[in-house]
Amino acid sequence: MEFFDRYINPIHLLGLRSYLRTKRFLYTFNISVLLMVSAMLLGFFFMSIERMPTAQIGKNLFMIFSIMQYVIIGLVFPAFSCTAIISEKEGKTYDLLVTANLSSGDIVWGKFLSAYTHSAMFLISSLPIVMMAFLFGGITPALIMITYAILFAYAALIVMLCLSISSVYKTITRAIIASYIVVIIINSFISPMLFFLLYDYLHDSELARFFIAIGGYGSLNVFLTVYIVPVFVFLSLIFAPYLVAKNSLRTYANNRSTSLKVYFTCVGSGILAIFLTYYINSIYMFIGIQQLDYEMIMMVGGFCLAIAGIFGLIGSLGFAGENPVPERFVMKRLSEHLKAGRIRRVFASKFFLGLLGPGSYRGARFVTLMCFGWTAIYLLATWLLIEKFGVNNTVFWRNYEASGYMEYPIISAFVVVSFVYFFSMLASFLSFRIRQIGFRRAVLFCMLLFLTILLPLYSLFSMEVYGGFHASILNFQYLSPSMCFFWSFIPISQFGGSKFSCLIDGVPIHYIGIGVYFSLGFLLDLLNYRRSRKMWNELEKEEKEILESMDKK
Amino acid sequence: MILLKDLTKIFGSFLAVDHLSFEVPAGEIFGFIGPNGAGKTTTIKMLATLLQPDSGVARIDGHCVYTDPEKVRQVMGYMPDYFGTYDNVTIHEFLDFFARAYRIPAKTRQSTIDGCMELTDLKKLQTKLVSSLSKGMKQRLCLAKTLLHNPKVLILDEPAAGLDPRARIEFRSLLKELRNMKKTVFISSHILTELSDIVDSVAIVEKGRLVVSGDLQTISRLSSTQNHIDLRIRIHDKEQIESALGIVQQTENVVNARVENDSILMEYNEEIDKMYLVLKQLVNADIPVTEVTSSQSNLEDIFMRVTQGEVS
Repeated sequence: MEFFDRYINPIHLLGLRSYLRTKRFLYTFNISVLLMVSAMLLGFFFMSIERMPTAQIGKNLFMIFSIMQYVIIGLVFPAFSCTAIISEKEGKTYDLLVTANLSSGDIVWGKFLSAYTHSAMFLISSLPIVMMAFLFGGITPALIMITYAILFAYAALIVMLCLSISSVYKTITRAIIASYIVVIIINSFISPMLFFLLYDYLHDSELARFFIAIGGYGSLNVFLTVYIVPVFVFLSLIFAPYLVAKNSLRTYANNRSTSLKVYFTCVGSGILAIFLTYYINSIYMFIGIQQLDYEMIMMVGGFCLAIAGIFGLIGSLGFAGENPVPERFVMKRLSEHLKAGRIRRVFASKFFLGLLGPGSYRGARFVTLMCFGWTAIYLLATWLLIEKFGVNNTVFWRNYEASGYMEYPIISAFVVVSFVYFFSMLASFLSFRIRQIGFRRAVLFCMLLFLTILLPLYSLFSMEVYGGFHASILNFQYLSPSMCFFWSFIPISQFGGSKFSCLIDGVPIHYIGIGVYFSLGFLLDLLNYRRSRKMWNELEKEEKEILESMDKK
Repeated sequence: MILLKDLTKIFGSFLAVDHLSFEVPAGEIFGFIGPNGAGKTTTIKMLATLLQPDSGVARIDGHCVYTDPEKVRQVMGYMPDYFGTYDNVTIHEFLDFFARAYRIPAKTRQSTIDGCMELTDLKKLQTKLVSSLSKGMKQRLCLAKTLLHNPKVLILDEPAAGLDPRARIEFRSLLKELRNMKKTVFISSHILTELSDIVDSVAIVEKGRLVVSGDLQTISRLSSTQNHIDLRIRIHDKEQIESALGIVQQTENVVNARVENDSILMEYNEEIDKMYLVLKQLVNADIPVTEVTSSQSNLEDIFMRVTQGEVS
């Protein structure tokens, strides 16, 4: 028991103790159950009059139940969390929580658990009601389980979103209004979508059969697209408001960026992992194990990389005030842990994660290094496949030969590395000046710079050399240069030769790209290094002066 | 135990705390006083790790409030000037919540809560809902919560504000008990008469700046424009009191000498060590002096003398 006791979040416990005793909970709970039962009975009454088949009645009752659940999630669940944090601040209890050594993460997680438990009680209490529909047939236990899984996930998203809103707004009224506006907007998109999916499923349409079929025999990539990517996006979506709430509760502004950096690293790594899986699948294709839907891969892969690019960019920018302080304390804290033999603490330490995550100069160097590492692994794998295992009768090999440039894979890899190097250094360069220009403006500036100057410039080069619209369009791949790898796997014949030829024939233009990216990246690297040294020296001097004056005293 | 060095806080263009520096020795009750808007609560919030200092250093038990806030919170208990409580929970549940927050192990949690409730006299009320408590009781509850993790330092912001006279007296005795427990207490208050009985030393701030700090006697001496003590000399024989008054009035540096019952009251503009000169005159004239009492300035006098009633 003592073991579990250690893991109980005190705020969760307090939330359960205090809220479950209120009359408000009792009334809301009973009224919602009553509403749901009334709707079901009313539906049953009208359907009985129309003398519907029993299976159809069961399906329709289940539809009514699902609609009611979404209504309750939208109306009631935001109330559990939309005032959770702001009420602590207005009620003057927030300072007591902070000084009781509860971290911002503890507070947000405790509040979430508390609100989510209340929500779960509402959802579970509706289980006996849905059994009314089950009596008539037409629905399966699996369908009920899937529906509940979606309801629970949706409830988690709503609760967490409202919680983050309550941490950002300054008054209870504003937090409530903002929460309900957000929930109404989300509900108006998600509810109809889920409703139509459910309707489709219940009425045996093509779409339903497609989704059922995927689970049985779909390829890895389609499986990824339909299952893994949505789950990943959902988790990312739920984790983002959590971190927004957590960061807005941090006392000291200088520490606020760490968890966001970790988030961007995680999301970036996740996207990288998904993308690598696509690669692996492509290699499977390459050695002729499985068929692959190229268009699907291209579409999803491009989408993933676009998101990865944005996350990576924001992550590398760093945040106001973070640059001057952390590094010194990171190293100090890490050495303290190491000296004391607390190895686990080192890895659990947020400072350690902060050290790894993108953000500022240190992060920019790390991102470049990571990218270089992955590319090296990829090249090694390719080399092994071709040279050592003799896999030479495939699409890749044909491209490789057709290009006439034996260094083609290496060029592709260097394009990626040079691009990442340049862009992360640019983001870091801006982050040093973020106090002056502001975070939002820095992001905007970075994107505008990319879209208005670099991309057209590069496209102009391409058009100059090869001419035509396709050349410039194809160079959009440099928004996410890893696309080069994909292109290299696709047979020229699929594009009728001309469309794709600019990439194959255009190897020299990549040399220019690599040269420009590396030169600019290196220049920015030097500037960043100078700036960080200067800041470091100023800090050391300041601390030395303070310590000396204290010693004198 | 507490060290402030050039602590500064700026809100926009408003300088709330201006290079504040002083030290609080371990085991002392330290009064932190100043007029409204002097920056007391801002300073306390920085010490309590609730507000980020703009520059300077603040350390509690050797830990920097800025770089090591977690460690500071482990050794510090903070009681704010205004605080809320959670409705629908009992006193015991309220304390249990904070005991869990302080990560007190389950084995010792109950005994710790009991100990704090006994100290603050809340044991009998442990099943009462917090919302039903009076202001004084809520103050006690907050103090009990502050003591749960056995902190070395207590930071109390206006703890006696809004309490009735009985509750104030009880609260004062609680503070004395805390001193006996070797706790360092950093207390800010407007009610100076309350503080003067219990504090060992004080810091007076005005317009975000430190005006003076140290123990009461030192401050009194430093803050006086001239050496000044009030003397009361009791004369045994009432018939001789008039002649005694005449002698005293002729003595150097004595002003405002007057008779009150069987005593002569006077202001003596000299150091206390020179008091014997007055007595010598009386003894030489065979005046039967039975008692001599001197009183130096109290905290209120010092406060009025050193501050100008300005806010920043």
